[in-house]
Amino acid sequence: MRLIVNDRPYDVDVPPRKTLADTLRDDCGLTGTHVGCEQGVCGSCTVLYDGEPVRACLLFAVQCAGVRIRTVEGLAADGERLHPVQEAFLRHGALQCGFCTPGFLMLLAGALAEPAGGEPDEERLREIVSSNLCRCTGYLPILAAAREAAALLAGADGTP
Amino acid sequence: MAAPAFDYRAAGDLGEALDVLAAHGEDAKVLAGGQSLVPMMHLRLARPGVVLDINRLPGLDRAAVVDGELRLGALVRHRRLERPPVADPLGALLAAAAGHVGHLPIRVRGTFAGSLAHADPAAEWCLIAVAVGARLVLASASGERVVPAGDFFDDPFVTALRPDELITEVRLPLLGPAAGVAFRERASTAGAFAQAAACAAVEVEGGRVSAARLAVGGVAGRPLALPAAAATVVGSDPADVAARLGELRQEVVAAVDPRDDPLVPADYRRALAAELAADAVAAAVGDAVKREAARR
Repeated sequence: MRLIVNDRPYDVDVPPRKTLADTLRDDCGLTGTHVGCEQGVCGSCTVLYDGEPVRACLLFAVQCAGVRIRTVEGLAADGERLHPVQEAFLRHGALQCGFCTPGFLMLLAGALAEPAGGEPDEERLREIVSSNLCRCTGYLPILAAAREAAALLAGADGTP
Repeated sequence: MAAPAFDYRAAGDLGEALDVLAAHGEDAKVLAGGQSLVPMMHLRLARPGVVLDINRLPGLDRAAVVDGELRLGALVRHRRLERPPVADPLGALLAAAAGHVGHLPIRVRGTFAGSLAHADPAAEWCLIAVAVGARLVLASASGERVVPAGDFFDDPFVTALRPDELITEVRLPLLGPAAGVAFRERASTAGAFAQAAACAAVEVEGGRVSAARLAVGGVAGRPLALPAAAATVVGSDPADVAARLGELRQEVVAAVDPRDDPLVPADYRRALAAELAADAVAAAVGDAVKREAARR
């Protein structure tokens, strides 16, 4: 089957039970998508599925033929210019060990790109950030980064 | 852990999907959003030999009003309901509950009908389906039947759905312009399963509460409609509803029999259900009064 990840085709041969998260890592060589709980709780495997944030451990790769998948490797434009969410994480020190970071970046990139949503308020931002687990940095720097990225993206075309 | 190996079938149309279910019965599981089924497969709590992916079935993502009912197709996802899908108060009720359903990435994939099929006793959509008297359209290769939500849920994760059946649509009656609605839930953290939840829909006409419906979730093996508790406010002037809530709480406490669990004692859950129910009914009456004022 053919997966389209970060606008690039990957022809992979995987059994039905293989998750999108494992396929991205093992078969596409895209190890930026991390695998934590494998049951949809931690969010470290979050990727964009046709632009929306999803748990890649709760999708089988066979379900994703013809879908545009975006991973953290495809977040920076041309692989060089950091995405506003990445910039904000850098500025606010919103990561420590980094395990959860790709998931948070994709969660926020997807959530903040919502076309009709406008700039989310503080309650909405907190609700979005609560989707994923971080066990070392703490949520305050992540929230600060999310706030800044939200303000920035609300003023621009938020498409990641 | 990876799920046990299975045969993957992506049906192209409804007939094909129902044939797969007819052929494999208990050994087949329907995959829609997969936000409950897939974790259960990873934990080996579910070991279907055949996984029937219905995500490519045409037309099932429709949400439309037909004959006074909001019809939600099997592929309407939670996220779609974050904004009211209809102007009727039912739309506001769905949107109020949607924010309690898991987290955003779960809502992007998970489906309304899938939640009913999974039948977690704490699930928001199961509660609303019972509260408003929804009907489920169950299709199989041998035909179609329509089952009221009140008859659909049995025990935790046990429903009237036969192994060869697929929920193709859920029909929720519109509540009408005189209705007011409220949804209340308590969970340990955002996105966690409800410890208890309550859903109320009332009507205020001629300065009186003319009808009231109330249901609670998370306090029994299935969502419970509580007509006796709801009846305590019927006939009241909206301004006097607060004085009726003590009796309403007592009716709720008498009607629910939650199980003790290590984190949430039964007494606490019972008291919580009563508080949430009283709060939901009071808020629904307030909502109806506000809507009435806005119409004038």
